[in-house]
Amino acid sequence: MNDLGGTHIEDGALLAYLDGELEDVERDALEAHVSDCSECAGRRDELRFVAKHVSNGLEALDAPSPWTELPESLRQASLDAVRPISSARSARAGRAGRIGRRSIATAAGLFFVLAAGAYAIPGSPIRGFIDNALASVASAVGLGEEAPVDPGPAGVAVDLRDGSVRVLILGATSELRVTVFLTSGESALVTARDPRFRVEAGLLEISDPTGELEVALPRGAEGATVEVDGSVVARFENGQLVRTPAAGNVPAEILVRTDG
Amino acid sequence: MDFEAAFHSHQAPLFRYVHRLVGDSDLASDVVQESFVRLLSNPLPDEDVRRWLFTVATNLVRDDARMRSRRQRLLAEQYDRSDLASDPIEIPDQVTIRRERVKAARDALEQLSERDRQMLLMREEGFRYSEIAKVIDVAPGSVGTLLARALRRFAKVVDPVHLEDESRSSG
Repeated sequence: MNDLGGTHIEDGALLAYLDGELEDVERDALEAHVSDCSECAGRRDELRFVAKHVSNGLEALDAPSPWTELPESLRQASLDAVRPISSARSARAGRAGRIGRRSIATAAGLFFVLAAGAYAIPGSPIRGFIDNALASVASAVGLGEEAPVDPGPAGVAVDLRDGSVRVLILGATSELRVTVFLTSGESALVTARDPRFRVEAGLLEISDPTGELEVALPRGAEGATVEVDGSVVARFENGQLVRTPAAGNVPAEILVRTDG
Repeated sequence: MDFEAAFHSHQAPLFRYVHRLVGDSDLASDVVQESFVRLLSNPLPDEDVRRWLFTVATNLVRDDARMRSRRQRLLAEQYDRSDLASDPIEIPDQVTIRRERVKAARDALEQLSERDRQMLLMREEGFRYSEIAKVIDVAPGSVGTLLARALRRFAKVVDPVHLEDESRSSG
């Protein structure tokens, strides 16, 4: 905002007014000035016309967007994309769990039919055995309390920027173990447990990871660094992946695998 | 963030922006698709997606040397390109007029600095000044002034005679 109280109003403020960018107080001051200033009123109208003229001119350049639907390449990419590894693992575990439980339930049902006769006999010593067996089956098919499901690690990839990538780990504790190694992929890939990720081209930030954290750096990168709370703990340059001396000064355990 | 919904919401304006910026449908298509691919690895709240996509696309056009050289080459030969191919139902005079309009608009954009070009095109897409300032990395207080100057420069090149006449009558 500028010059609303001065002699004349700058073009920038007039355009901001036309674009609805001024605060109420600024707008009121501008309108009060323009109502008494033919020069500023003229430039305001001229700018309004110019802006409309530019919009019309730019429309001449337009071509229709090539898509009406999500292109197949992007659809496929979205399916392959970084999704928490935990969700894939949970899905697989869930399917396996359902099949297993169904089989056990079927077996339990058969067992129950065969044993029903013996169970019906009062005082039969087999009653206690069956009661125990049914309790075990109920536990096996999960009729009791569900055990908490481990969400597993989540993964995220980041592209290189100008051939380099930085991986920043924030909030490391002594419970964290970071393993750094090289990969033949074109992106850096990090897997961690309960992390928060922030990704930009060439930069991947992981906050508050726990347990095992793996950092795969692309072998084709010109340079790459892994930093823990501001200290570079591993560096890849000139084709060499090295663990820096600073790796011994951070709370987390840092392992650098150079075996490929 | 629903990726497919984000694509449907933002692909058309993003394509228009990039196409105006680079002057070629294929190149614009590449940039837009690459921007969305990068979005996949950076899930964002819905309200941040639009500005993020435009930022990535702007940076792709600006920073990618391969794209810059390709853009320069395309602009040099733009008037023979298929983007300007005539509509079958257009009569020759209309084709000529349309080509002249495209050439004038392209010339007008090209005489702006890269920064002013991007700012002007983002304004056309309805971005707030604060958003433009963040994407282009200029002081928020200077956006109005820079835009007003860019608008005037563009308008003078695209149609100076018409502009002067109309401006006189509207003023």
